[in-house]
Amino acid sequence: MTNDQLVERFAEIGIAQDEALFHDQYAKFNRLYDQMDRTERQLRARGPDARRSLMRLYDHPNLQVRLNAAKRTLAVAPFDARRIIQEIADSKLYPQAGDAGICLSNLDDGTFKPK
Amino acid sequence: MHRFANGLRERAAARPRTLIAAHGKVWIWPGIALTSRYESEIVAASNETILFWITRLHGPDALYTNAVHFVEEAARRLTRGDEDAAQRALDAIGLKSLSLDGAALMGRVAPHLGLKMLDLLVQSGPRCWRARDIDVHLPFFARHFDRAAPLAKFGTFDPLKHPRWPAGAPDSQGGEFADADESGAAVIPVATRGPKKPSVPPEKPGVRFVEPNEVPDKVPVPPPRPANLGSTPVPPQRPANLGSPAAPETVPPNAQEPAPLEPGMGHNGGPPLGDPPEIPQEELTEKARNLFTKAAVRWIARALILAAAPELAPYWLALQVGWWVAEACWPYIKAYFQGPKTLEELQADALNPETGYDTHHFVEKGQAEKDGIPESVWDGPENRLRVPTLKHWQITGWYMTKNDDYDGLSPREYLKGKSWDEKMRLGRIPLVKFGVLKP
Repeated sequence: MTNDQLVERFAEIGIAQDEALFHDQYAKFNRLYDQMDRTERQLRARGPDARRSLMRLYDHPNLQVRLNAAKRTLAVAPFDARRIIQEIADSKLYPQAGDAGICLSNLDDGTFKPK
Repeated sequence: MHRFANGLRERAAARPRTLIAAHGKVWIWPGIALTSRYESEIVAASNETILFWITRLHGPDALYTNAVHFVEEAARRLTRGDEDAAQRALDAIGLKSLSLDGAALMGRVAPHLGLKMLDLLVQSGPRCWRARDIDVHLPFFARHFDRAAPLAKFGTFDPLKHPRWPAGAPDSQGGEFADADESGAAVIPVATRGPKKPSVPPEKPGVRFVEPNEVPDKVPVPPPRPANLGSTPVPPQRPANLGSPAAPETVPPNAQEPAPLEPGMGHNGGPPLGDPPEIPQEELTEKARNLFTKAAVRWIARALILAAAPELAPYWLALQVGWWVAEACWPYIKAYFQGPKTLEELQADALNPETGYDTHHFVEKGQAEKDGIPESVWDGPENRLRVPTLKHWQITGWYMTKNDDYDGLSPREYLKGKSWDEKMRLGRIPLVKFGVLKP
């Protein structure tokens, strides 16, 4: 798959995760999480530029996609990624806003160390 | 000249109206006080209360008038003892016609309270309420109706001015008034309507006074209003020590918390808002009820940040008065939009269970049991908080789903084996970040 195809796949998974959360399908969300992880690791294996291609999802209309993309680019674009996470937390559109707010706390206290 | 002016004043005074200034108060039909006395001052009720009662009779269009401003002005004039000036302020609102729903409501409330309807115009437009929706209002009116209200000042319904087609007339028009004139004017002055039925059935929706128990069971929910019809009803700004008549809220209490954003791709508001979820007209299964409630909450939350209040306010009101939805869904929606509370408040609330809320354990019950923590601790009052049900579900979802923050573990898995103090510390964070607990 090309980088673009992987980014597209990453976004599709995020949209499906959003749906799963809305319907309280947590097992499905977790399966999708594993798929997202595998997709992003393929990008990561291709170098920082390939990984940074996820930054194009910072403007995605789906909040879960945006949050996933920001979290997965914290290591390569810490300033921009954190700004996106802060915006999501400030939106008060839950549950993503809640997860984003907790992520910021975890970054600040060192619980979350982006790789 | 004086006689002419006096005649005008008398005619104006005799005109039926839903808002009157009399006996030192502002009243709305049938006799509900919109002001109260605070020491020597007459103070208007909260914005929500004023708008709630006015929209009952005049429909959601009344949200886009200066009703609150003029009721407050009338209260100031009453404080000065000038009842005529107060009435002029109320007349300046321009509420001269009832909505179709308002007319139906009046037709139901009047006999319920042993009163007569008012001789007012009826504005054509969509019907939103079924008979059962109207019935939901009756206890509100009965509870707030003050028998001491100066009823004669409102005016009365004169049946001689409202000729109707006889029962059994062709096309099922019996009892109805004729349609608008050729120009299709939206406001139908029923008092001046001629008694002849048109030979061709009208194409436009008929406009009539609706008799008690006459409201059809199925009426369409109107489409959302365009976004350019006015500003958001302003949240209440009252002295903290003043009470006000209980009434449904007009806008979510934390409506102004998120920063307003523009809709569309590339913005945090996401895609254009779209229509609100259709309010169910039938009783739903529990699963369908939950889905509707979550969808309504999601739409309202997005509408708030998209500054789409013109669509939001009527929807917010409709959720409170719709048959079934008001009882089955509204408590959950209202609870969801409550602002964050202190830990002590949430703990105290847990002693008073209420529909729309769940009891949440600060440290999850399952984890505490697995760690051998005694029930007296994990189910103790310090660990029990009352939280909005839908927020509880979201927080539970967060605990159960894998998360980058915890190296791909779910927070629940991450917390396994952690100390009670650590669990307490971490248990606080999602409550704060999901807007339940004050930081």
